[in-house]
Amino acid sequence: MGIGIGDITAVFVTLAAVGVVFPGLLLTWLLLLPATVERARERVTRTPWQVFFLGAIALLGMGMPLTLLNAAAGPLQFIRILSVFVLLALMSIGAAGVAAMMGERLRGQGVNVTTPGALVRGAVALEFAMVFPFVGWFIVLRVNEIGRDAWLEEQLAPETLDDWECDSRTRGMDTLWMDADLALNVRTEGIKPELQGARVLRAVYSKRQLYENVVEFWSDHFSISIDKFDCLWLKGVDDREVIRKHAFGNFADLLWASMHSPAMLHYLDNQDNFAHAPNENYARELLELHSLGVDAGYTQRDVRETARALTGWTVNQGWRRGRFEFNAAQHDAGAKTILGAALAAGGGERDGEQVFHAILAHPALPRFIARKLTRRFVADAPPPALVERVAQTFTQTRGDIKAVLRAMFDADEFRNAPPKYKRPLDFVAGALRQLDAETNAGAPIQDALTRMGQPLFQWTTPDGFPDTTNAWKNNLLPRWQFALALATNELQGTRVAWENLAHVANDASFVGALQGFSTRLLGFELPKDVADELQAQWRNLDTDLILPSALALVLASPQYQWK
Amino acid sequence: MITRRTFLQSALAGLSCSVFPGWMPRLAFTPQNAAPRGDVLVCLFLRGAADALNIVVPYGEAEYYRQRPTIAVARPDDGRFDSSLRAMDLDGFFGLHPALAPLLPAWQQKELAFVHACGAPDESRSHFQAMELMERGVEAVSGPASGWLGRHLASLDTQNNSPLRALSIGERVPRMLHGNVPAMALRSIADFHLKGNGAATLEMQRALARLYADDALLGANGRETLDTLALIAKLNATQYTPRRGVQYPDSELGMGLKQIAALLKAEVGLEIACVDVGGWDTHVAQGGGEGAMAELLRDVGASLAAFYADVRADSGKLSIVVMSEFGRRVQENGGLGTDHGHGSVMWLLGGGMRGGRVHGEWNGLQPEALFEGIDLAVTTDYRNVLGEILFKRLGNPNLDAVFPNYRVTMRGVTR
Repeated sequence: MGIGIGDITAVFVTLAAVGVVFPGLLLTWLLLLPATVERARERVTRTPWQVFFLGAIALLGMGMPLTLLNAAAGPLQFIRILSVFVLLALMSIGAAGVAAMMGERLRGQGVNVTTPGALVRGAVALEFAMVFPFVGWFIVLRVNEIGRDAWLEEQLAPETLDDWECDSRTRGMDTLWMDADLALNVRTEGIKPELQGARVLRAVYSKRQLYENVVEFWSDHFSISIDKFDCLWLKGVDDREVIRKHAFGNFADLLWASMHSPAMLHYLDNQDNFAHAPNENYARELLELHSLGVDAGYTQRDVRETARALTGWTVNQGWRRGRFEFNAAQHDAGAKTILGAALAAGGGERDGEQVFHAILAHPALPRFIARKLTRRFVADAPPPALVERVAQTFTQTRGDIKAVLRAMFDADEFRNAPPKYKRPLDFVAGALRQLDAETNAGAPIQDALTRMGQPLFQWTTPDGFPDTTNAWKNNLLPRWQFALALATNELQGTRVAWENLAHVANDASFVGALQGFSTRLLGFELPKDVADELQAQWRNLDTDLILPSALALVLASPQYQWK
Repeated sequence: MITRRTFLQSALAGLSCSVFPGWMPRLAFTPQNAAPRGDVLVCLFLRGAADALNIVVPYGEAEYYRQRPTIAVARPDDGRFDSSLRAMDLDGFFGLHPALAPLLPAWQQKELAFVHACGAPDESRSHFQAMELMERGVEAVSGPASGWLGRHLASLDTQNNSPLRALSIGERVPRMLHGNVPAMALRSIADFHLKGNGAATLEMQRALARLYADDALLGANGRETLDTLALIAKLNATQYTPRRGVQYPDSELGMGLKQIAALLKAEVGLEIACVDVGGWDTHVAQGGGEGAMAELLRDVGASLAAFYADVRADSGKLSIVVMSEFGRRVQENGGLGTDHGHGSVMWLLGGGMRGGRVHGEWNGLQPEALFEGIDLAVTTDYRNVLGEILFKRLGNPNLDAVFPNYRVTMRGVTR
């Protein structure tokens, strides 16, 4: 007897029924026992392998024997069937937890309450995983991998992330790749837009987000203003060879590179540091801002001696223009005492190297770096215990920046940290990034950043742009102006892709657009009473103004100013 | 309920007065922007440690010329130099840097004074530490995080609800204004608006007001920004013209002071205005009568003189203070500049200042009299000067709140 049309129909109907029943069953559990499903979801998220083995044991150890064992009718049979059902019920609750987790991952945000829609989506994804094994496994595995620790590890290995999109945007910026002597021939108008533009483009488009953030941190730590004399032409080399090269490397290498950086020596006047008349600027900021901190216990005498040791560390002005050179004629060859270490006379270039070693050996170094890092990434007033632990990691790994970052991001204090106020670049680049905007990071963007108080690479003093909330929160108007300009596509060279955003709105009303954008950009909806009042106010808004107005309001909202 | 405040406001409403400058409508509801009780304080902070010895030049000190063979400012009677490069005599011992010539009339009218060898106890010679402590008005890092001006505003109720009670010209509010009373940062009045057509902008502002109304962290800043927007929208600020004959330099400082003058004349309730002037960290090629620092001084002199002339009518209610975090080394360095020092000089300008005098205790520039043998010592604590101005000119008796753990001693710098 062949396979008739009835059989095929039956098969399809069965499959469809199963396809509907499975999500339906899981949904029922969510509606009946939401708290249990949530707990199951948490367990699955935190300890997936444990859950897997538990399920395997339950299935093999209990489920199969129970099902296969054939008992006679009667109480034993009744108990057997009841146990099977109870087991099925428990396992399907677990499956509901898995589906909930998948639903949340697919939705892409960490909201705590699972919605029915998300659960159904997750259940369907699970079904595909079961019915189409290999494809399904890739879906499941991929989604599961996007947990935070995996993300962190991926970000800490930026070379594994293919950044072709970002690179293609910065590839045309020749001055970024130039050596000093070539760069010194380029006009101001050729260099500044590329230096500032590349920073914004990388912040917006790079997949290596953590790397770019840490580059920004070190740029502020070893801050150089491009407004001072030749620094504009030399900063590109510094950015490439000092900051970007060592941002994820070792602090010792980074400091060494910075001490040899023509841009830095020029910025802090070390080329005018002579034996017969020392200039203390670089020496002072090296100790105070770059390594030890003002209360590390060093004295004015240490500053003077460090300045003497660093005489001769200068920038070539001749045929190797713009490169580091040691000028023995400028050097103070006398004996010195650096931070307690005695240096014999005639040390030459090695005097400066001794400064380097003395700094690395100084006990204040790890804590100073740790405090700066935690202040930038965790909280304005970093918890002392965290600073200690991070400092210890710094000491134990001898300045391994990745290890220090890991120690910081793995910490509970980081997980529970209150939000930090967005600096202008965070605000602008974050908005462009979240909206998938197309930008050339040109003059309008740079003007906006300047008006907000962060003209890139132009902070006048060597301490870099400030980290704390109080330094930034008093200047809201430029952010509002930017929000409006961006939402109405008035920024030349920058465009929000409206065609991709139309679906973000929950529905065609103003409040639908508002909450849609809020969810997309903030991860949560605005409070209902606020949304309702705004809806009442904007009831008669033109339809084509709904999306831009909603977007502008979310970008300008107080909630969006924090990260 | 009738409180003293509402009673006063309604009483003042009846007093709205006389001549309206043609270019801007006097705000009818004066209560919202009542006049401050004392002087308006304008604080200019020279960031980077301005060299006090080349601003108020001790030309009577031989040591000054010995230590600065290249960058000293020449004596008023030194014929080897052009008169435009020589110090202008102030009182027979001190001279004023030639680039500050526009301020000389104020000196002669006894409305400009200096306090030399003035500064803070902080000995770190670190810009950042010195500025932080000075702006916080404390001696130790453990003191209050707010600024001395912030605490002044919080401790003095002038019944002033204006959003522009405290203003900072620029993109950021300096630390000295941090505190419970929010201060506004703005660069230009003309640019202070939400672009767009009138109705849509007002709708947007209403919506923003709702969004920021309940916000615990940014609510005050949001409200203040919106109030300032509303306030400035009422001023026809793009057409501000200074008093006849007054020409502001086209520099950041010039334009900034012009904004302050415009707001002063519009009587919006401005009490405190802060302006930063950068670039004073002259480690290299500082110059003497001419050069990098002279150019900076030229800008300051011209801008301040223009400002002072512009608001001349109100100079009796104006106190201008110019200060810096510390001074610079007596001896010039290898780059023909100066390294970080200690003692500085404060400039005081206004109708209420005891002008025409260099206040403070001058102990000379011999090594024995210097701090650590190399820097100008501090003989007058800056808090004594600021405290006296706050007390006598701005009418704030709560100096312990403004400068905790410090006993202000008046030095007689004001009338």
